[in-house]
Amino acid sequence: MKFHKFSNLTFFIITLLTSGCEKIEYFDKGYIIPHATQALAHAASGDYKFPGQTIEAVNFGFRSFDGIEVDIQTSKNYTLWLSHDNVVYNCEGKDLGKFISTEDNTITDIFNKDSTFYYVKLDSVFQIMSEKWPEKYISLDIKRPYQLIPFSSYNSIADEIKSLVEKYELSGHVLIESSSTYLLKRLNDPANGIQTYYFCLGDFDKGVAEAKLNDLTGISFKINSYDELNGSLIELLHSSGLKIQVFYANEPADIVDLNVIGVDFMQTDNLDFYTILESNN
Amino acid sequence: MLAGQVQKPKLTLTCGYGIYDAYFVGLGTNIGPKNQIYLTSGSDFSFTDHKQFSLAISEIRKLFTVYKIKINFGIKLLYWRLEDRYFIFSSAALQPFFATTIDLKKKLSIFTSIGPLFNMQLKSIRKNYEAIGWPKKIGANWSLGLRYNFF
Repeated sequence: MKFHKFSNLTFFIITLLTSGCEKIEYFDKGYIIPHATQALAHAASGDYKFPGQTIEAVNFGFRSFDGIEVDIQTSKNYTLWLSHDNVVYNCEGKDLGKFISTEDNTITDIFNKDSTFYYVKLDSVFQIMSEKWPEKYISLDIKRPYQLIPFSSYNSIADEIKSLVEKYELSGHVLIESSSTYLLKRLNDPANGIQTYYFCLGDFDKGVAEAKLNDLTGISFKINSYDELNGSLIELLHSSGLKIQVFYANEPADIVDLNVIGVDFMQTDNLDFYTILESNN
Repeated sequence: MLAGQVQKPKLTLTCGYGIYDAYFVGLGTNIGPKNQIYLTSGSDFSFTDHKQFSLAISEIRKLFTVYKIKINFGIKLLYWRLEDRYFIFSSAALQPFFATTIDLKKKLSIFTSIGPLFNMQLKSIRKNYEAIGWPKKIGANWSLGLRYNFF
């Protein structure tokens, strides 16, 4: 009898104490209205017709697609420049040092005789977009500086982006991809309409959890990596109030499949993108 | 212990329940005058679609005694695996904790421990498309159990 009472009491105490100790966090539903998949020219328009991330490439990308994707580096002055590499090269290919350690005037001076090698400021790209293609989209892949920088530096980067969006009235048309949730949360502001996407290398559930935890717009997802996307995952994502942009969508089969399952944005180097979709339809 | 006296090795059986450990059992031994190390394995013995398994190694150091209650500090390295209706998650975790021990008899004691648990996700497997979830990065782990010293 005593053992029964003791075991019942122990079980009751354990149940009481464990009832509030959830190990897994499940996220609430939300909903977004899906729209037709938008194609973004990867690195403006890659290296197919023009050197990537130049003014010519930017113009071609906006003309040919629903928008462009560019890679962003930060200079010592916290000016935003287009470059995939975090290192500044001169026209001869010499390494001049990391972007984050280089002054703007050094970067501006890099300009070869043929005008085929130079660096472009994000300010210039936004100006072009505002004047010629205000209805298009631009996705900014904000690269980590590859060295520790203080949070005040991330604040400066976020403030610069918000300032440019406001200056050129591009609210609702600018997407940010980053692996830094601190930076993405700094950019989350209904007033400026910037869309924030957590960068994940193929782990769908990890990416979605980070996006929900930090109240972001969605995830930026590498296809053909770890998790395979399908219609059910996209439907689950949308029913949770999140969007998805995918990158490395270059193979015709991938382009068709991703369009069918309804991803929101697709970064591609394939200039035959629309022809592929048309022939499939 | 007197100077020059060699401490007799202890072998301790431990069992109990913890939030992340589940119902666990294990063995421990002393590794110094004040330190003990334990190896435990746990399960919730469930036959439903909710299952939990754990494996842990912890080191505990005695700090001081207050009114016959021994206050200890420890570090635990824990592997835990949880399966529910939606996912199978495997995680590694590090937990610093405070523990209290009360001797019930010469060889039998009761203990509790509590501390934050820092998770690192190892693997996740999705079972269906019904939910979006993820293990908490930081959780609270407490445990309650008994220890028996063989010698």
